[in-house]
Amino acid sequence: MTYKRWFITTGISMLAGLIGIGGLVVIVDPFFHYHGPIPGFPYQIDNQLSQNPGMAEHMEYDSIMLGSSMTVNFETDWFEEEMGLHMLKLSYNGAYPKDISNIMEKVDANKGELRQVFWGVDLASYTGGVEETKYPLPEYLYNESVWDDVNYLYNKGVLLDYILKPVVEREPTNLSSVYSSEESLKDCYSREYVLANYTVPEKNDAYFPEDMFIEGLEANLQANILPVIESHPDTKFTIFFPPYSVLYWYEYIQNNQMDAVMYEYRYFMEKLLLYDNVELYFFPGEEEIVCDLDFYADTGHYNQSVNKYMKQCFALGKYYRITEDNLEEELQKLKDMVDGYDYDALLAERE
Amino acid sequence: MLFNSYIFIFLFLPLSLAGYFFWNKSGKYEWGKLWLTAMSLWFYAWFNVSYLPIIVVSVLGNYGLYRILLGSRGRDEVRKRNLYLTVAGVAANLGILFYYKYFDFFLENINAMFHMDLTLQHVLLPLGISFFTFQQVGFLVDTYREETKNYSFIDYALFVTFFPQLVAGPIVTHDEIICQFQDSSKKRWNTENASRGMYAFVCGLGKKVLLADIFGKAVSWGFANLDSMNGLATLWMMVCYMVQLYFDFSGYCDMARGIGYLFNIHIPVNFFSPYKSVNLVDFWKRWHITLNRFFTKYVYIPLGGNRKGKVRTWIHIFMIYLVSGIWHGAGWTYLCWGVLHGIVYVLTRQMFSAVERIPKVLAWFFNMAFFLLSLVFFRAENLGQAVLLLQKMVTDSYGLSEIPEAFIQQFQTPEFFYCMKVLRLDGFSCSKYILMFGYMAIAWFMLLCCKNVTEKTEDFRPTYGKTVFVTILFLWSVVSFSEVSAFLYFNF
Repeated sequence: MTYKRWFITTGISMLAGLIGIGGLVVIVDPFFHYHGPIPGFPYQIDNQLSQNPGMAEHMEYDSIMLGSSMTVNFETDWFEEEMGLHMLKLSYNGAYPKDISNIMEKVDANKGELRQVFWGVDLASYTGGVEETKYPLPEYLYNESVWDDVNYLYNKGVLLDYILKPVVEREPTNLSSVYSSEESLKDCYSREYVLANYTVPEKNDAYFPEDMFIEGLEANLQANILPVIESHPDTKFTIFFPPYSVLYWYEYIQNNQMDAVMYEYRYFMEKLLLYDNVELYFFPGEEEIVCDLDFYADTGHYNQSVNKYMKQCFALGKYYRITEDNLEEELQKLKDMVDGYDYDALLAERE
Repeated sequence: MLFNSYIFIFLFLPLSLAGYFFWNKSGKYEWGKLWLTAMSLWFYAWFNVSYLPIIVVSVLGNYGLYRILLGSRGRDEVRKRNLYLTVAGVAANLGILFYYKYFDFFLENINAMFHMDLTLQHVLLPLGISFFTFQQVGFLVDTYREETKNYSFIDYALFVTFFPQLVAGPIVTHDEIICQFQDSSKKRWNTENASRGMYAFVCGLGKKVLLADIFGKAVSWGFANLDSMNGLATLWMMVCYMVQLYFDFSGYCDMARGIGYLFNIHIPVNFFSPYKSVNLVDFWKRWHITLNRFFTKYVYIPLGGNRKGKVRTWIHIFMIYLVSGIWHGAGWTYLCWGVLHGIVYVLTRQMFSAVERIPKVLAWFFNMAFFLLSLVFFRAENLGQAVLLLQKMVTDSYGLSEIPEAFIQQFQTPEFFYCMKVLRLDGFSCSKYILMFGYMAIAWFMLLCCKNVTEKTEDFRPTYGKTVFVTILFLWSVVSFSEVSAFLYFNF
């Protein structure tokens, strides 16, 4: 074999390999970066950061679920059955407002009609920098540049975990329950488990002003939240506040920040109540859920029955709804419950 | 820009080659060199564009001084002036290096010694500054010694900035590089050289991406979680670091040599199977060869070499390793590393006949054990951590089951994880260790039983087998540049 022949043969085979690999990724497109799912391929969807943008841009839907891990246990089929909505779940664990506005940009790139947005809000994550995302994003899946797509086309993880593995396992993800943690945490939902893994917060005597969260929240409202609502006047936004357990609130009590949180909720809801296309649902004050730790796997994460309950409330449209008239009353209900709870008795169970 | 990046492989390298040989084919050799210099500056600026003025000023300043020295060559009356100029030039180069690399370290120690509170500068260290500074220091000294020829600015600029060796060596000398760029017989595309170059580059790429980076992941995890590491895990981690360091640095040099071949430029060998060495003298003939060549020529020999008696020779050798330690990084740990090497090198050389009588296997083991021990200082973030590492290796438990699960997980690369699944090797209680031991076994087999890439490149003959090998290794490496970030988290 001559050197010339070797060089040309090797060069061609390398090029052919590159074209083959890149072509395979483009055709299967496990992150839906170029197109929607191809029929027959058993797609596995488990990576919010990488797969949400493509799903948002290229899948068919008329409503979406946004929010953090508080939203992953909603089954989208429920919404189809009860409300006739063809929903896509686009949850980001720990979602910051910037994560929401980022994915909404991808939703906007989708040509379909967007009837309704369900949006679980964790205000504790809504006061940071307006450009901050919870986790570093794979930018090549979010920006418009084609040049950095090379990171997607020639990517061992994409090839092995999202093309080869699904082919071998033939267990496609059910989009209705995508990202659900219900199965993996099924043994953790219990009062005993929560208490056993709970670290009691120390009492902090420092003083915190009531408006301590407002500056960050206002910046995020202006940069990432209100523009999303304003730019979709024909879309109904069902914004809800999930019910964290009573132990979640204990940390704020110990830190002397409960009044600041109340202030923050009031501020946020008052802003959103100004919009006709927004419905607000406030679940944190629901004592029967919040004070029953058997619903929880830790201080915040509840099981799927709670999601189902919230969904029913959305469908009925009247329970837990916040209006200008009942805003103070609902907040007071939370405050009274949190203030009046016997934490010592609960924590004594740990011993 | 890294060699192991998409932009380098898919855009930069093809563009550099095409432009260079296009100009050469048109007979415009100077344009070819200019093209390559410009591409090299782009390569450098890609890391951080603020680095660019530093290297440009450095090249301009040194070339200016070179012209002054060259202009007065042969005139005895200015010899003293030229000496002063050379010393000033060397001092300026080292001063810049000192400022960027050592100034904060210097201030920290002043603060600690005199209980002062001088503000640290936190200057960003320009990449490769240690390499191009030394290259130019050597050039100035050679100019003073009248060992340089009359080089054009573009020849000089290309010699310093030629991208394969710019950021991590090998440290090349003017007499081995510039003449090659001036040689018109090297201006035409040479398929034999290109084949060797492709082969060497892909081998180096594989060493870096498929081996060094895997071991590197385990090492990084281990250092970030030292508290959870037992004695065995710490020792394993340090052996991983030993393997990582070699595959990383030598892989880079193989790639550099490979790229050199593509341009018909022979770049000197920097590593030659150092882990096959049986004593430290042997080791340093095989490890970072061009750095030792530099220290020998510009430190050891000017100090007097071995011409001033035994004790002075020892001191001169010791000085090489002391300076080498300082050169490798700003910190007491590097200094300790240099001191350790200096002492053991002197002892080995002094007792060389006795050392040679030690059975080869035993000698090899002691040599590797010493290098491993020295690497504890080389890698540790501070002396306290180095002591902690040593303590852990000596006094902590050696239970296999106590190795942190996450440390073992670092070796579970997806490709081999699937292989284990297919071979049904994943169902045993000890399955999780297979890849950890497997990677190590493969690495040491390559280190001790195989020819190195330099030898393989020299012996290279075109065969279909090599086509298959190069293609698979290339594709496997390229797809390993990127991975899907998976955050296994459960918080909100």
